[in-house]
Amino acid sequence: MRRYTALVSLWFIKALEYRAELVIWAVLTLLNTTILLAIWLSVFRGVSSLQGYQVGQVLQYFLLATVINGITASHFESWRSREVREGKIDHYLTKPIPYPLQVLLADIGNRSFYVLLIVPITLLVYLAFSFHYSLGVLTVSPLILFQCVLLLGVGYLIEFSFAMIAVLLSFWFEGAEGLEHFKWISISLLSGFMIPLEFMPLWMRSLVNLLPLKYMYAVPIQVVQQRTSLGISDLLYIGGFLLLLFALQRWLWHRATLKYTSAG
Amino acid sequence: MAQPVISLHHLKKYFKVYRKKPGLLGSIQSLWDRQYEEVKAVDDISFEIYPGEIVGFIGQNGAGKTTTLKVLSGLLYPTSGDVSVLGFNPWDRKAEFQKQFALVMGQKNQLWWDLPAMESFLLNKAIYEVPDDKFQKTLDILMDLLDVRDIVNIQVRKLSLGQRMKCELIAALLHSPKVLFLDEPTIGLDVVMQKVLRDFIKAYNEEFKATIILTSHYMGDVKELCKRAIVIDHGKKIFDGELQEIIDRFARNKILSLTLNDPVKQSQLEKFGTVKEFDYPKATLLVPRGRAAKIAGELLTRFSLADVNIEEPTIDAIIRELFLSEKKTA
Repeated sequence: MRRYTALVSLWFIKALEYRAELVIWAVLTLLNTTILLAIWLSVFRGVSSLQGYQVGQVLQYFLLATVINGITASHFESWRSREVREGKIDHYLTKPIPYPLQVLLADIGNRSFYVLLIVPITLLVYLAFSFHYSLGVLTVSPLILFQCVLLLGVGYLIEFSFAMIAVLLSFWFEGAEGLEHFKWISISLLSGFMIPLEFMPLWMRSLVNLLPLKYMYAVPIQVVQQRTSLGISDLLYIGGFLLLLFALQRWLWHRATLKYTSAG
Repeated sequence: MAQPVISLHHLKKYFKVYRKKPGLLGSIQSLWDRQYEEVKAVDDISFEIYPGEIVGFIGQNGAGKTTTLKVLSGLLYPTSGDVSVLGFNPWDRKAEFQKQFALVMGQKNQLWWDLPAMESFLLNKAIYEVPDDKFQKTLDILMDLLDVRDIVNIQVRKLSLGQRMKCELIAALLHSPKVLFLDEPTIGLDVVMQKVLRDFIKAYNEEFKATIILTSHYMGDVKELCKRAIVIDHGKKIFDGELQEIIDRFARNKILSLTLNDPVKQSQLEKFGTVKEFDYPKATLLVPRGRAAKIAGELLTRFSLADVNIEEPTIDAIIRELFLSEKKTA
């Protein structure tokens, strides 16, 4: 266990080394969240509610989405794929920890840093907006908390798996930039990150309801806002989907080790 | 006799390489029609290495040295052949195996670029599960041998190439590997640093009885460290034996260095051998190996000489000759 925590903590230490990037991320998060909320305020100008959402609830929705994004979003596919192409993963492959696990632990280390950075900033924005708008009080019962933690884990595993699959595909393909974009667009549109499900056209909403990506943003926010609760069918669907992603990664990794050319 | 630590039998590693036609038209054509060719990086190589040996792996660029090391360390899956390192199939990548070897590549870092080397050492300690006391003891020995105590807490990117290489070696050796693959460890280093690393490798081999395969373009590394050498060319093994045997088998000439007392014409010396250099009073002749002593005697009777030396050609020159003769045979 110590070797895993050592890897996580070293990635956290590494993230701390980049002080300039720390400031940039802080400013970016602040700016991004404020602009997003300003846009939705403008949408709600002159109306008290839209699609069952009051202005405070929609602001709360996007603040929660920002927090979820900070916790779950993985963005390592581009540089990891470049490392694969340039044969720079040789040293990872000779270590007695499987490469995909090293990538996971590294990402957890990185993510921990951004969570510590993004959550307080989002809370600040939340407080600032709550002076003028009724953002509502978050009721956190043990059941809601359990569902939220579970769904955050699910969201993270889906994000990580998509990014890892893009990295593994780069053992065959020239680059993962296209795949990264594809991942970003799909998750943004089909998970409820960009817009709440209720604001989507009916056909799109039906599609989103069929897909598992809604468990990344829309469902956890609905759980917090007490608009929905997880059922057995949800848990089975999530479990099946994660198993499928895990099996796909294992298969790709096995094939990738045979394919690796270790350039340079 | 001891069991071999490393054994390779008929190892082949072929790569499929895409050959692009030049220019825009070539790029457009490559969208639907790509020409691939097979490159035989390693082509039917066999050898065995025994515990504690330091073996020099010699070959020109692209000969297949690094590819062989990568197969031995489990990075590459072979096209065919049997490979065993410490009784393991390297490409099974079992943790028990990975904890017993290290790969050091002069052209690739394992140290974390933006952090001090000590952070990488501590990470490797955890990853290889080295006990605290053993880690501290090994680290102390290695830091003293390489004289790096004052630099291990400085960011790696701020270190010189030589300092970085020393730290790379420490990171690779903290778990006391039984087998060490060194791929061009002295590349780009100045002569002083090359010597430091050579002495270190020799000392490590003696202290830990590690089995070492070393590839290097600097024949000085091989000459100083390795009793045995394996020479490969275009993926094929062309020699495997003691380094001295290369000299005996492939050095056709010896070098006669003369210091003349009286002026002579170059044409007079050319009757005895090939004149490589002539700058009175110094002259250098290449003479057939078997007749070197006899020719030296003849020169002494014929001319007034202040000094005569019979020398072996440099190992670099012999290896060059070996590759040239292989090329002609091919």
